[in-house]
Amino acid sequence: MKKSLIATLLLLPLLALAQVPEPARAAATGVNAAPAAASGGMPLHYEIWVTLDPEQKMLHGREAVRWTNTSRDTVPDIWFHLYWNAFKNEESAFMREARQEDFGADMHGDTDVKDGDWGWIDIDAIRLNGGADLKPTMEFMLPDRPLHPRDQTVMRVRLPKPLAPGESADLQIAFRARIPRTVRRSGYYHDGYFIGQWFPKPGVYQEGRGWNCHQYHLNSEFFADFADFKVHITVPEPFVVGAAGREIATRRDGKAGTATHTFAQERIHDFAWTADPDYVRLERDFVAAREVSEAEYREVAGALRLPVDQVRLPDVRMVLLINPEHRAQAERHFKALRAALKYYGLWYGPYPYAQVTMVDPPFRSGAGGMEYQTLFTAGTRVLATPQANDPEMVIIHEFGHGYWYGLAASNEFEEAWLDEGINTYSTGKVLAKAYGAGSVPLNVAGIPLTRYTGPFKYSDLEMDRMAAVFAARLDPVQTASWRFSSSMSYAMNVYMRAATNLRTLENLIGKEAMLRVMRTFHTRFRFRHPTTRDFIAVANEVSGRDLTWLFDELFLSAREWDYGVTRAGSAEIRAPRGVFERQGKRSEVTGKAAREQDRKTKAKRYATRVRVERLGEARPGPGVRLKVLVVFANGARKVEEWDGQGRWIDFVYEGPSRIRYAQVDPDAVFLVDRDLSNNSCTAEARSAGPLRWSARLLFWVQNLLQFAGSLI
Amino acid sequence: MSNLKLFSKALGTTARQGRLALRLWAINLLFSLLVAAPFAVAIQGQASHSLAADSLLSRMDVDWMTDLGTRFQGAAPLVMGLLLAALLLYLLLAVFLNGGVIGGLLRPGARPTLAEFFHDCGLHFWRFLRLFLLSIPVYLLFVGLLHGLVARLLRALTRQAATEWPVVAASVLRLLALLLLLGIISMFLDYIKIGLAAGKRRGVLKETGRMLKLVGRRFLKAWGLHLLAGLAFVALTLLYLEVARVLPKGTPPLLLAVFLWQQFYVLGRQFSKMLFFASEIELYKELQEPAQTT
Repeated sequence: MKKSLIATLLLLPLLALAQVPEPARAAATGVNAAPAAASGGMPLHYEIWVTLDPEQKMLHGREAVRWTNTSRDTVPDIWFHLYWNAFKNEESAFMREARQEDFGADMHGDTDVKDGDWGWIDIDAIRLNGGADLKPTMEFMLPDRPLHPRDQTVMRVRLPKPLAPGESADLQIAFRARIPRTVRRSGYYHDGYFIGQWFPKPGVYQEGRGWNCHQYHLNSEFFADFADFKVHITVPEPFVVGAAGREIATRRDGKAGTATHTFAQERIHDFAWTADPDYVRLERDFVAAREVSEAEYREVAGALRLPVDQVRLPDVRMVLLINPEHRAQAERHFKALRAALKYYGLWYGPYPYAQVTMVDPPFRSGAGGMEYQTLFTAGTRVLATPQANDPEMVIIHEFGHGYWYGLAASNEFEEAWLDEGINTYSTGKVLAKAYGAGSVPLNVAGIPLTRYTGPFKYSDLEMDRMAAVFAARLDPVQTASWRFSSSMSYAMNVYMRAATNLRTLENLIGKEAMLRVMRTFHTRFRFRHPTTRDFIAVANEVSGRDLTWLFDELFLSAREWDYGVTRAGSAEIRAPRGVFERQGKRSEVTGKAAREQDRKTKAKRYATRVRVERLGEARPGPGVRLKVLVVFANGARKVEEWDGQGRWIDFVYEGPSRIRYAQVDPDAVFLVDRDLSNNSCTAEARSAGPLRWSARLLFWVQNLLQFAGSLI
Repeated sequence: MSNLKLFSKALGTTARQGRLALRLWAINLLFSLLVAAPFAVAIQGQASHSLAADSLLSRMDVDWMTDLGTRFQGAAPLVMGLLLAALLLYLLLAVFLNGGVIGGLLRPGARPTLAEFFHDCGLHFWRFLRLFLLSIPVYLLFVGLLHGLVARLLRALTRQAATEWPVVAASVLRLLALLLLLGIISMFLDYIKIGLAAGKRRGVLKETGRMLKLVGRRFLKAWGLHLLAGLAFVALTLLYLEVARVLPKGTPPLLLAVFLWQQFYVLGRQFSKMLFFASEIELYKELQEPAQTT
């Protein structure tokens, strides 16, 4: 990475000379027969020149892209994403799906979309470098079902000659894009711009499967190949620009009143940028020596079974572009980013880039809370509550995507849980470590009421579980993003349910083993495209257990997990009545005699029965035993095990004490359990706690009724 | 007489009506108990034999809330139906009780007995009920339509807002507009009720017209007085919240202390409600006097 930065810096004077320079590469045919290794092992290299026209809300771009066939297939065509055509009209897959979900006005960040506010991208020219014009071969593709026949978010061009393995194609693309007004993730509002997924971007070629290039769906995010980027962004001079990578040059054109900012970054798979004249730009450093103590290094290295030197973190430059009205929250942003850099780095591997840019996106740009590599968007409010972990949660989460989706570049279209679920799990852990439980961020008309709601704290884990148990029946976690039954099911399954499932996995195999699973998975698939199967394989390998069942039950199916103790009671064992044979003689023990015998018996004995039921459909895999704890009034404890396969099991005891309570899964391993309250059953009622909430409910009802009564 | 004098007179009147406040509190408590009982039974049924009950004493247990939600997920429409029915019944009860409260406050210097209280309740019920029915379209018109218009106006004003502050301000203004509308309508309804009870007039529409004219002429004074009573309510609520947030929790005796403090607040709200009526009665009397002398 350093080498390429030096090379880029050396090229700066040349770049400065040319207003819109052509890419240096030029082959007569546009097809480079050099082996794949020449591409640095990466299939893509980009150089893009883009000019923002704020009057017309247009981007005028030129893109030089080299695509290398790193597979063993011969490839006849190249497929591209044209994401912004999702905002072109109401017939795109994105808009049709939004309409089906009745998203309506929310789509545009609570502002009107006037005629002319649609966004789109047009390819004006596409040709092989110095060679064939590919535009006549251009056609829109519809790879996904259900069919949205007028969607134009995927296109392909046919190559004049199929690319053999190792060959590359240098393409020159001229494009124009109309910036949408505050549609998801991209857009403008006044003179604030957030520009994401904006350039023609090749899909991912998968050996033996062809192009993986999905349409832009309402619930889907992205998938792309790693590339080296150099992007020249020309904007009116007063604009403050932030982008992926590092700014390596700025050239001002006083006459035109513009400035061209050149950014470069190696080994990323996306490039987003933002421009707003009002941004306040702040910089801080993450200095590892200051943030992480030796003891922490040793602790993590011990857990990971790695030498300490392998867990040491590098320093990272942190850039914040923040709206002036949020300026007072700047240090809050940096603090959260420091925590994220520290813990993601310690747990999953050092952050490999020299700089990370955090953007508090322009007001109403619809771009908050989104991940791009080396740049992410946070989002806060002017009246953000100090006690609530917001915007910290967003900052940590979106930075975390730099690891999950960024470095371990999973397919967000097809397996969104791999980044969202793992990252939600990771976010919760970082938040818990750095901040602890947060307060409920209750607002009235935008004014925080944390003075009174402050004591009501919750952890991410609890909120994740809440969503998880409601979502379990709706869809399997592992579902293609656009095939979920609803946006709500998508969100709750891929984020929260997946995170809760991962917490369950952690409880099952232990914290340290889980840490090693995550670290191994991440480092093994850094700069690659892992799949669910890869994650399962790593989990099995590192834990030394076959956990496939857990993924089958919790990730690949829509089954609910619910075990409960449905009965736990003891009865005194009394002397039996009736007719008995003793020494060949038949005699009757009458009720009176039995009672007398009971009265004389000093050491009472009790029969105890505990019933545990499987109330859900999901069940543990082979070799896994559910623990059942039975505690008696005299303090005696019995720990039983059950394979959980049947519908129910009874545990029966005879002993000198009554039962106090029975509890299935007493260590709360299976957080996915639909109803944790029924995991235990006490012999005696414990009314005080429920009474407190009943009294609280009564108080709320009293006040509600009084309020209503005061109006008439 | 100045508003402060009227208000202090009203405070004195209200302070003497402890028995009336207790009656109102008891009725509210009984009715609320009936409404809350099924939920309390459900909570007890769900949690009282679970170890989860232990954590409920001291904190907000999100896991338990999740369990409760999933267990009764299917019952949501039924619950909403029951709550709406209870609300409607309570509104009718409040219409009935208003007669007793206003009647009691209008009795010079006397503290109404229970029989007198219910006599007043019954005496004014039908006219108050007609007024209540009349108030429904008024609320719909003003709160639904006018507030809707205000909200649309504010939205239009902030549509092009370049920063977040105007949107926050608009959101506060919208809330204030709603409170203002609710306050003004309920104030006029109070004066009409007072007029109906004091004048023993039967015609609700006629009395409405008369009070609109009478109070409308001294609107600012009436509104100022209403705000003073409103401030007393806000002060009471803040006092409740401040004490509630420092009250320790976690043991049954403390639970009882919190419950008593909550009920003290509910009782305080009954006084607050009477304070509104009492101050309005004072102003009503003042407005009546010149009319009577002419």
